[in-house]
Amino acid sequence: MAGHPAHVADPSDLVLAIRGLRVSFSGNEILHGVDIDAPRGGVVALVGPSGCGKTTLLRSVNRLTELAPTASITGEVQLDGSNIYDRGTDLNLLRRRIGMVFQQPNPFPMTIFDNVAFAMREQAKSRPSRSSLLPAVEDVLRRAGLWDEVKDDLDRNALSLSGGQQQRLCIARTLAANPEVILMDEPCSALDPRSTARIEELIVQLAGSLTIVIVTHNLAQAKRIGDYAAYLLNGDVIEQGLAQQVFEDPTEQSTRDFVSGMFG
Amino acid sequence: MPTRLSDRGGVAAAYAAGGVLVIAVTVIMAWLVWQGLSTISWDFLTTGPAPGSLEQGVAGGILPALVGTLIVIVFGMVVAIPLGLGVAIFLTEYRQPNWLAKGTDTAIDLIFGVPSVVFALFGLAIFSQGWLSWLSNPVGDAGMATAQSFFCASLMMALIGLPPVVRSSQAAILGVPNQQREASYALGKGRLTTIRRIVVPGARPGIATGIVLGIGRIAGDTAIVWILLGGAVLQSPPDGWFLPWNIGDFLRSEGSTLTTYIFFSSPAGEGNSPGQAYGAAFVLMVVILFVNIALIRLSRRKIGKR
Repeated sequence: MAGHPAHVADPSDLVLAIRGLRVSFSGNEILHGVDIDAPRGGVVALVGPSGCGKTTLLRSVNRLTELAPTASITGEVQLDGSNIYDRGTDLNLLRRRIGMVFQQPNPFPMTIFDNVAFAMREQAKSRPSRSSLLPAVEDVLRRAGLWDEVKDDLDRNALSLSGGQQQRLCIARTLAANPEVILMDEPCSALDPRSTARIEELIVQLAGSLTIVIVTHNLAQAKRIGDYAAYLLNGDVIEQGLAQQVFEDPTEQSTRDFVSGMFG
Repeated sequence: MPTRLSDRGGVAAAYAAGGVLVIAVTVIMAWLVWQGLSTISWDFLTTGPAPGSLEQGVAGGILPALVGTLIVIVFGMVVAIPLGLGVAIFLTEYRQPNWLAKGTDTAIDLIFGVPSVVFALFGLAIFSQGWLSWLSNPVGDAGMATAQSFFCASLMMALIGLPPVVRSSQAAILGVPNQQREASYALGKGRLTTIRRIVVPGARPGIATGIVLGIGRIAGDTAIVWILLGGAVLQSPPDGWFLPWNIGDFLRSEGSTLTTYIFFSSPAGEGNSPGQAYGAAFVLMVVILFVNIALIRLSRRKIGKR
């Protein structure tokens, strides 16, 4: 392999390794044994046509898939070498280590401050005071590139923000749980081009300090921000590797057709 | 644009239906206000029925009945709100095991549909058991209880106040977008925290509506009061009933509410003093209206400064 992306110190250091992941709903198999590597610190773009299973794949990495009672999941998702589907996995801890940003910005109907503090406040006993949380709230809002816009309005209803600001707030909220990996499910699909550019900028800034796995419909976006890419079709990984190689010199004909815009 | 005749007919019928309803309600309200206001006075609200008011047209106040209504509302809802919210959460967020969820659903529908007099009758059978005499008062040495007290009535009131709380809360909880639950799970919050911090706060306006409807049912019920509270219209509570060391005895005693007072003093009842009845009806209406507005206001708490 040619040189590796700047964010990634060691491409063989996999923070996530998905092995033989099969997911079906009511017996209808959506993913047919998927293998994906996510090197620590990188941005991994999952691309493919609608219905190829990329969102299901993403949601199986923080075990949201199993919220659907009809889902059945086999295979492994290794986080730092241990399978998150092992019995005895602390789901809540897992979901703090692997955060998620959704397609539609979905801040809670609370103040901006409370949205960010939500992940920091632990169950009931001895809730930390506002003043003790403020430095951490400021820190994640800065990292999400939102601080300057909201610093005087922390007690404003989060739903009064613009769509792009809401999505950055959701990223800040996720950062507040201090994750190692952030999963992003088409985070810009509901946003205008300017807000999209800000989110992309943010993703590139965050990479390195954490790993980002992003599902995107937008090939140009995948090319702009992806260090690695995986192309999925009908529940199978057709091709994966360095983004540059997948997009510019794919080995599979199907990938070539997809990245050249022939379908999808 | 040409309109078909049948369309116009439909529109006219819809207008007429709305109009008739508005007129009917306005007439009823206006009548109550007009008839009731002339009876209302400070004395009417703050004194008990005058001794001898068994005779027609004899004056007296409604204080015991007003207090009785408030007591059964508060005690009934203290049971019905947590229970109803719990049932609603079970039916929406858990629904496991399925047979229990279905059974609960049916039970709620039954309680909603069956007239309260049926439950009152059942309550009489249960609460008159000797081992439940601490809810009312024992009767002689027979090992029985009177089964008529604020405690007995309130417990049955909790039952009839329950269905609206459950159904409204259920609808409101279902209305909380799934995205918000998922966002909470994705932040490493468990089910209970998600319900407590996201789902229930999001459903607050609907829960408040359910509480208002439950209070309306309790305040409007007559059968339970008549059978399990004794409908003791003329009996004024003992002096100092509200003192902490008397309140237990008071709640184990018979009493009345505004509904039984209205029935008693209406021309259909023994008291036959319509003025009193209208006055009490007006007060009941104001109490319900006030509770409605207060609760709905409270539930729509604004988020943040703007």
